[in-house]
Amino acid sequence: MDTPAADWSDLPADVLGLVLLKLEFPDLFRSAAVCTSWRATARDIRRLGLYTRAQTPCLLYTTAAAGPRAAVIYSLADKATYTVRLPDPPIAERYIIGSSHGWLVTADDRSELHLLNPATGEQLALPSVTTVEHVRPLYDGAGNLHKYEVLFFDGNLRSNDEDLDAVTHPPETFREFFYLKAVISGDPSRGDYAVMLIHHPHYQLSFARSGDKKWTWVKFENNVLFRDCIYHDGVFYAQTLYAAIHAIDVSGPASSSFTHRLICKPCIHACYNVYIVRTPEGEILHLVRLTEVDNDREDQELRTAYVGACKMDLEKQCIKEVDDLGGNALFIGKNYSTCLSVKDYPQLMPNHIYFDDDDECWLYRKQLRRDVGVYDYENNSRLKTFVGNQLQN
Amino acid sequence: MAAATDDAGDSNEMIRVVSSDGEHFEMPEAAANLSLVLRHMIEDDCADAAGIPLAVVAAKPLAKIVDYCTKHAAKSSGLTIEEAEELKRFDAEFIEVDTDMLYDLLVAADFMGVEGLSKLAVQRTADLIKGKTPEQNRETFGIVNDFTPEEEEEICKENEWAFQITKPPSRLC
Repeated sequence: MDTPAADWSDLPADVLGLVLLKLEFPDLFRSAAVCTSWRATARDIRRLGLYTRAQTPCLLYTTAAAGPRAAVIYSLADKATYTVRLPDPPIAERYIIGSSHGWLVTADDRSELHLLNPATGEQLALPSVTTVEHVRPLYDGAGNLHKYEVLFFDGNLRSNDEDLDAVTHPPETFREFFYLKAVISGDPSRGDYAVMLIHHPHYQLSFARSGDKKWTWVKFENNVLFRDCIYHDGVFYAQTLYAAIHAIDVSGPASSSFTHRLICKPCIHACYNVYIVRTPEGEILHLVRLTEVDNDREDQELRTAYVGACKMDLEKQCIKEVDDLGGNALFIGKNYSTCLSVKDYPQLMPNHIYFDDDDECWLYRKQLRRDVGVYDYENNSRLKTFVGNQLQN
Repeated sequence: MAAATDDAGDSNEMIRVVSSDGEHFEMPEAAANLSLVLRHMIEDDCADAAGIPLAVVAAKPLAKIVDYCTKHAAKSSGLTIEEAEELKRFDAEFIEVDTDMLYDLLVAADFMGVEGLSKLAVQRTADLIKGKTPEQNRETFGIVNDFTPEEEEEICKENEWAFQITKPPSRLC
């Protein structure tokens, strides 16, 4: 017997919801524009916080063609680009110092920080840079902000030393010098979060929890140089350039309280471009990136030449090089260092490392071609670079 | 109508079900147990010779569901790699259906609580939606655009960027 054709606008909302939860965010947004019932369901699953699908990473950049107020998102999932208009201050004039859970951490032309969700346009201001322990605003005669001063103290050097070194920078260039990376504990649109900042002098840490009015300095007894940080199960794991790992718990009752303990002792010679990732299997990988300067070119561009990966053995306090990445895909750079299983993200290539550039000396020379690409770990070779020289940010 | 197979688990008991349009089907108990609803009915001794009535599932999708459950119950545990691969191939072919059947399977699998089939149909639907503009999705699924002009405008403002899908000319990694 013949049944009438199915009416897809009449699909029960709970069943449609299951379907929409499987979609990456551009597809979800487009589904919300199909008909009124799909729209209602798409909005409901977002409003109720049900849409928690982990997204395939995207590359975000600005171009002259898109203008200063728009970012281009290249989706690895659907191999397409989208041009997104974003709220002020203009995205092309900001510096991106981190990205976690779909949100960017940006520094504006006064070096103040924002969290920005490029997909939804949501924006949150972080505590002022002047509340970081090491930073002082300097005003001119008319009372206008003139420069920021950074005092060079850490766990070793006391802040009250008379002969303490200090440098000053105008507000717009201060960000180039001061910020190294920012990492968010979780999706800020889903409740409480904390931001961990790796900053100068001496690659130190400060954090702010949602609602905080100021940054809290993570003070150590001695000089510890941090390069990367991840968050898992309530704790930040910060990695030094000697591959030591410190666990820092900022979830205490008082907003400025924290506890820390060393969970892995220093085990390599100092290396500047190091990363820490947690695999889906729960292992900790330590990554080293080596770059080379392309001397053939006049502008001396920096290029990623080699990426090494080691498994961290927390019991034996040592690291051991691995032959492959367990079929996973890795993401390193300014972003939250990530390891994803290609079983869950079939568009990604197994045992490959996706990178963007984060070298503090090169990153803000915006006229240079960016060092963005994919590295084949098993064959120790760099695949082709992502996009041409239009990347600005 | 799905034939009973001998390799369907320990239970040789056949369970009868009746579609909304009055057609009778039977499958091994192990197959029926893959449906949460049928399992509860069997546990409550509601499975008799007259068959369990499924008031909202028509004969066409029910025949497919009986097929699915019978196949999966026969290969439920201790699969070799080859058997797992074969089951995967079965699933892939099984779900190659038109959108009318897909709709019926989505709704019926959800109603009957057949988890594996529900996941399969949900993923297939999501795969059909992926990478399409709203207009292309309306075509695929035969949906009428019922937005008012005001709503259209609001939608455009909200996420206009997502409707401009640009595929870069060169194949990127």
